[in-house]
Amino acid sequence: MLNVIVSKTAQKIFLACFLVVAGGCGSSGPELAPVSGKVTMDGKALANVLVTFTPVGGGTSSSAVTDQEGRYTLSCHLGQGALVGQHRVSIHSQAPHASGQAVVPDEDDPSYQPDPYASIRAPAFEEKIPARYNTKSELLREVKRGKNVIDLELTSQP
Amino acid sequence: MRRVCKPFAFTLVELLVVIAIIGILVGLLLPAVQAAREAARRTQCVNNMKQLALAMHNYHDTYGVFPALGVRTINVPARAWHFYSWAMMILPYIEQRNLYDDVMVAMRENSVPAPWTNWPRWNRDLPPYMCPSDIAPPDRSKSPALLNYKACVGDDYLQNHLTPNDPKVPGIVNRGIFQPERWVSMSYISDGTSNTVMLGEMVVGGRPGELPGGVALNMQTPSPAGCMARIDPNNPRMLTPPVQDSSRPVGGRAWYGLPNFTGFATMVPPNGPSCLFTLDGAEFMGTASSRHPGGVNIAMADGSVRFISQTIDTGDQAATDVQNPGSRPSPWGVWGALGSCSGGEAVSLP
Repeated sequence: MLNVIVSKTAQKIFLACFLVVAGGCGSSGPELAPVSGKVTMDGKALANVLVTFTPVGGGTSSSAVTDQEGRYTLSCHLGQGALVGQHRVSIHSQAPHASGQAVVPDEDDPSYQPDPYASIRAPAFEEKIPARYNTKSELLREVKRGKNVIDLELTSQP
Repeated sequence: MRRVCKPFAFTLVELLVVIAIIGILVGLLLPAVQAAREAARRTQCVNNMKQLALAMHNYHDTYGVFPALGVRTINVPARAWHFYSWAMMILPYIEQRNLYDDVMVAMRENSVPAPWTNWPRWNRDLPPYMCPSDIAPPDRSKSPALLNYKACVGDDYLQNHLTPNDPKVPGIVNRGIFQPERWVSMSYISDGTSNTVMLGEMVVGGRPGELPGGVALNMQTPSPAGCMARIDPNNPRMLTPPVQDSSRPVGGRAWYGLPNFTGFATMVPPNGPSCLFTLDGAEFMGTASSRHPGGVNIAMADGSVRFISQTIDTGDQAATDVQNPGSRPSPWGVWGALGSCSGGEAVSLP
């Protein structure tokens, strides 16, 4: 009988200690919440554009590139998602890249020359997305605790 | 029935309780021990960085300027990109004059190999160049010497590998203290030496494409956000391909004086990804990184060593780099302002 009581008490103590230890392992840092959504311009999906959420009060911004259907999922070096709070959203086109998915050249080849002027030779591209969505963005969105779905519906005319 | 003599023994439950208590105590103690070990390694790491900052100052006392990020021996086309790094030029000031003299003799005889070659004379890891918290890269085939400490090229990356006398684009001047074949004196740092980053740390590189230390190739947009978007949203410890392969770990070539092996930029927040504009890449958005929890150490130009949190304000990450950044104030917040040496934004650390 005594054994049973002792074991019950021991179980309780063990459980309590375990909870205390496990509870202490939570990460302490700025709070992130998962953010995903779809970017459209006049109803059509925008593929391969750079979406950036920058906290209005300063801090770590999160970014992502949209896929073929215009979907994005934010992440940053702190983890998945964006900081909880108000964000300024910017949407930039990405430059078409010249070198593609070619094989990295062998630098021990005597004829090897790195390409030091790549950025100068890169073709200038026209930003088709209006400036009010990127360099002069006034697009504000709030990231709340929990899962966020933030669809960005842009219009080419103001 | 009466028990005459109870045999002295533990029951199974008592034994389990004792084991559980010991387990809990070890569980509490072990993280503390590990944290103490990491704290000791970090102290060593800070000490190395301080010694390198002092070596930079001693070099400055001797020559009146800080060393260039890299220098060439003879400007012949086949070796146009064989830059030899600042880490080689300060060897006499960290008590490695023998190695320095060896290399200088070879340079005079014009027999010095490419800076990534595993040449026996310089094929050694110098303890002052290594942070004990870090781990060695798996592939050392083209990594003669490890370097955890990188020179700051400022808050710009387009053309930060070119010299000021480049034949095609002359007059390129980095926003930071260091650039290939540019030597600046302390009086050039008009933002103030205590407000300008001189050295930062970067992990030498683990598995290809893994954070911290991974390098994404073929970046499409010249902004820190464009680099940050290369983090895989399904696995934030990895970058999306293409990534730098294992034979070019980012900290494996201490003698190669180009930003992609001995420099870094203050654009992407600490412990974020690094990115190259092209595949083989001279244009490098290098990012400070470490295996210390929560941030990186940096040495300011006055020789003080500070810890920078990975959540430092980085301003408008979507702002793109421009080809001639000139004296525009940094768009990348406190972190960007700390990198520029004469950007006109003298931001102090809190």
